[in-house]
Amino acid sequence: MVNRWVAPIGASRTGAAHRRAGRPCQDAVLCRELRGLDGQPVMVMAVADGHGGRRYRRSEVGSRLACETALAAVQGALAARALDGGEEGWSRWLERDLPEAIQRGWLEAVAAHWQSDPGEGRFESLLYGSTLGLVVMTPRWWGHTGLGDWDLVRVEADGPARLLEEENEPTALGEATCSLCQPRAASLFARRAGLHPLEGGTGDFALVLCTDGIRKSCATDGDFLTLAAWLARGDGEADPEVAGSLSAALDRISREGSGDDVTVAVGRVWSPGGGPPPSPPPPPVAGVALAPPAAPCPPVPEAPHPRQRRPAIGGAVAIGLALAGVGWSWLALNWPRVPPTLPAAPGSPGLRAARLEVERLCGQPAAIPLELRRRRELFVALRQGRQDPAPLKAAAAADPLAALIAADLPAVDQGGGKPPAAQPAAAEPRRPLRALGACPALLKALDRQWAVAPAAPTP
Amino acid sequence: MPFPDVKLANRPLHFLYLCDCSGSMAASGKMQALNQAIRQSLPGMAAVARDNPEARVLVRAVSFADHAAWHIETPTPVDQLEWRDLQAGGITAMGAALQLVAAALQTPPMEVRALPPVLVLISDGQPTDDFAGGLEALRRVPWAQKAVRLAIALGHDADLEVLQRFIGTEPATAGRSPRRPLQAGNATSLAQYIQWASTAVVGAASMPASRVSETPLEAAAGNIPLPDLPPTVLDPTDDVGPVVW
Repeated sequence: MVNRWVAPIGASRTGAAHRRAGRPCQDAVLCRELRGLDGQPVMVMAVADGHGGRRYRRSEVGSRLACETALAAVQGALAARALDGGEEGWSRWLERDLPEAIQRGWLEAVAAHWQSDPGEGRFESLLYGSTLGLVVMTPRWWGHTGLGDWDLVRVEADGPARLLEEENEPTALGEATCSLCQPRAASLFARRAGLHPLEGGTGDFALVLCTDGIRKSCATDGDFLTLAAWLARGDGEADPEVAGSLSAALDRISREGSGDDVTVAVGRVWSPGGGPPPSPPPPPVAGVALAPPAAPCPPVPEAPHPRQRRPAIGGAVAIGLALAGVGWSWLALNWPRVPPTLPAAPGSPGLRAARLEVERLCGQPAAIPLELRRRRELFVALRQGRQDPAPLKAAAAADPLAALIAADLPAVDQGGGKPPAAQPAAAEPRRPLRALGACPALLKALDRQWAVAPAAPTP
Repeated sequence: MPFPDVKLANRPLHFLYLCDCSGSMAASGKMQALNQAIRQSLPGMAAVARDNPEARVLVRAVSFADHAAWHIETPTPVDQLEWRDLQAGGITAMGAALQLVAAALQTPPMEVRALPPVLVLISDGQPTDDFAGGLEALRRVPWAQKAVRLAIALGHDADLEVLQRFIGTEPATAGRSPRRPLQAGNATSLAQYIQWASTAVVGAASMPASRVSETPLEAAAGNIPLPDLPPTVLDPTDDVGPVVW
């Protein structure tokens, strides 16, 4: 099978805050082209983020050893097993065998480092604590695994970008994250592992693997996806207009953002004979669906531009006016009861905010699932009756997204409280958000959240 | 190709004062000392914020007496903050204050990418309302769980047990004593504690290191490793003036 992967590239920069504090870069990156048993090329890229702080004072070594160990473990497997050996087996390898080899190797490596350079106190692997994100790219498939707060974005050659992987551990609160130094670290890899066959008809695309410093530097997830798509071009070093270099761009991201260390690795696949490797166009996220990390959803129809829905918006505006007249927020009303013939006019502040929110979300549909996922607590609270939707609707001007979610709650209960995902399309025409011009991507993402939000336990 | 049109942004760091304004705070100049301590700490806090541009320090304050109310409701950048004096009078609705803060720490309005907030509770007495209910409401909020919680007891009448429950019980960790409420016996020590919380703690919270989830030691050590305490706690014999409260 023909290899379509370009050798991956990566860069890692000390964060602005770390520089100021005189701390080293605790991120690491490693990109390498390996060979399978039959000589086929296999691309590997790894990023790691040492925890920093006093308790992890050797984490800059730990992150470097994490990348090196991961690469060695992949190399060991490639030397022992043919790539054609079946994808199920490789999938299990990404979930179980490879993580065990990595953790074992990493523990040995950090212990050896301590022996060669003992510090104060006694050795504990905690001193070297680090995350690890790993992508393996073969001619037939590509896969990812790891643990911790790294992110993986796929950028199609024609523009769309979507987040494939992020940390979703319930215990990873605040700045907490999963780490190689945890006793059962290998078992945590399975949740972040996945194998994707590379079919002949697969279009060109790029994979952007990065540590958390990049996403935390972006104001919104839409900004993050746009930035990832730009980084996917991978030509920062060659293009003098790109703020000097990829490194300079990473410096800027950290300086104007989180101040954390920033690291990125990019792998790209392109069609043979098709000229140079793909350069996905920049701001690419509009009109794109975002697949969930675990279970890819069916393709979402392209979102119509919100402007195409003016008649429906006009109706909603009218409702807002009517509601403003009685001193009540627009969303507090059950929209379908309002006659659609009211004259269009400027809405209440809440309505305006909600309209803008719908436009904002639908303007960057790739970011919608992420934004809704972050409101998961709200979906659950509403579904279980612990949160009254009325005050959220009334406060639409302050938090329009919460108001939109609250307004969509009745959709869940159509049909005996089953999530709307289980309802036929015909059951949805009265859905309030349609009146605001909600695009299919937004409605679908809402459905998905309602579907996974557990209903109140029966007494 | 130019850098893309994306919005890069520093991370908000919310700093919240919860100030006891009960009638007893009027005695012995405690309220005056608190107002002065907070006002005098602001330039130092602003300097720390300037030194840590990756964090956007936003200050709010809740006062509680007969009721709890926002003294500064809008998260205000520290360099734009003008402290209005708190007034003493009434009882000690501390539980209601915790409820108020719990609501403010919900997401939304709290930003998902915010830094762990800092909560500073200052009191000279005992709660007169449902403190347990307020604390429970606070504990249920994820951002409160992630928060750095500090408590300052003014004088010997302050309920240390209640303040300890606010900051959480914490076993001694390697080389460090368990965290306790700070006890201010006069205006000087109060000013030191306020200064410490608004500068050293804000500095630490502005630049948090990531940490391992689920390890008991880490959980005990708190979300942000706290910097060293002011000398009055390290060495109680340090001269900070006579105990007057």
